[in-house]
Amino acid sequence: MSSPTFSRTQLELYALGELGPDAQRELTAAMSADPSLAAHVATIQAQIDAASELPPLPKLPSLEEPLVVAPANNTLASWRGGWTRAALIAAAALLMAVALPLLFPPEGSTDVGTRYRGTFELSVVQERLGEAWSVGPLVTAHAGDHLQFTVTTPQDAWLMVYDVEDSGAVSTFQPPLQVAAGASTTLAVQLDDYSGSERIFVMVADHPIHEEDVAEEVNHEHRVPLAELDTFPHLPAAQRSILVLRDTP
Amino acid sequence: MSFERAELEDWYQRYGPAVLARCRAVCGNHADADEAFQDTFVRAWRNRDRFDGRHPLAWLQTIARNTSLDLVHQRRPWADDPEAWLALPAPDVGHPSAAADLARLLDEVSPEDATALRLRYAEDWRIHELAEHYETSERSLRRRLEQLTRRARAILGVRLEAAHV
Repeated sequence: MSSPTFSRTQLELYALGELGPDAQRELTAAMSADPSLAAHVATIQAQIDAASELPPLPKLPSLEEPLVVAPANNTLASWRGGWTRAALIAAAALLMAVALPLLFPPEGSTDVGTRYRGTFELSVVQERLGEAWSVGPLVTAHAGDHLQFTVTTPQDAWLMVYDVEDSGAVSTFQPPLQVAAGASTTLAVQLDDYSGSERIFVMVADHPIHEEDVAEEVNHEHRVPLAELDTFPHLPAAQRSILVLRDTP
Repeated sequence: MSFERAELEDWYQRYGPAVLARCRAVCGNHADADEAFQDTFVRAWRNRDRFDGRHPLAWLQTIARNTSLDLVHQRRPWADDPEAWLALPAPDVGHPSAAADLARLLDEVSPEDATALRLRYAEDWRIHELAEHYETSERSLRRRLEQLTRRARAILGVRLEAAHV
């Protein structure tokens, strides 16, 4: 059984002999109770030991040189925004045949953001045990069901899909993905065993909308029940959402 | 918050092996890892006024992640042998083009995604460690890995270990 109590950095500090005494006692006790954790720490220890012969420290720029102001974690932005094609599934032709724009009228909600002025078409198909059917803004689902979203935008845009649980937790189904005008993009997610309700937001915008932007809006709208929170009015994106309720299989 | 050169030199001695080990985990080869490691300390020094006061190792590992990902992006270290880079079993004879397909998959996804697969399967990192590494939620990370794993599994025709995914 894994122990999520200890971060990777803590385990590395332990391997270096740099973990504080209290945390070290706690980790030692946890390793005694959990052989898999002990083995995991042993692996980290071996990797660090194998890296003990360091390349030379390069010449550091002098203190007089101006500091570089670019953030050091620019690649993290890429992680948040660069999930390019991992979620694409080549089933667009089949899904387009069952596309149901009537479920999500292109006119859409009037309270979407203003920066993306186009509308977009969306159809959603639910799949379970080899059977598939189109669904509307309210879905009753089991763990393991697949939801497939097909999105068509009238102009080049960014496409994002986020999930908001009734607990307020936000997760990313599709990080910002550039889509071309007129092209259909199909995304698929498999629902996990979360037992509460959740709302899946499909967003199309001129610029990427990130998970933290959505989380901020969730905080802002925290008094609004998930059933009523069909769009985030302050996000500059056209939005459609579906509410997913869990049914006992 | 900032720090002096002597502090960074002290960190290099104390935390360097952990930073280098993480660069190796991400890059998948020693040559790129050495370069990422050295660049980590140069970037740390250049951005010393951005030190956030966290534990120095946590801060250095954030920079190491980014320098390593930059190199992965440039070098695409899986090109010659993607199965070895991901530590996956070779595809069976029914999938003769699997290596090329897998390399194409890794080319198509972001370096973060490619290395997430590597860290999970080749380096046996736990989900919460990956979430910490990428500064994202475990749930988001899990979902991303599920999608990537499904595609890799389809390409290779082998069952990836997925007990924790």
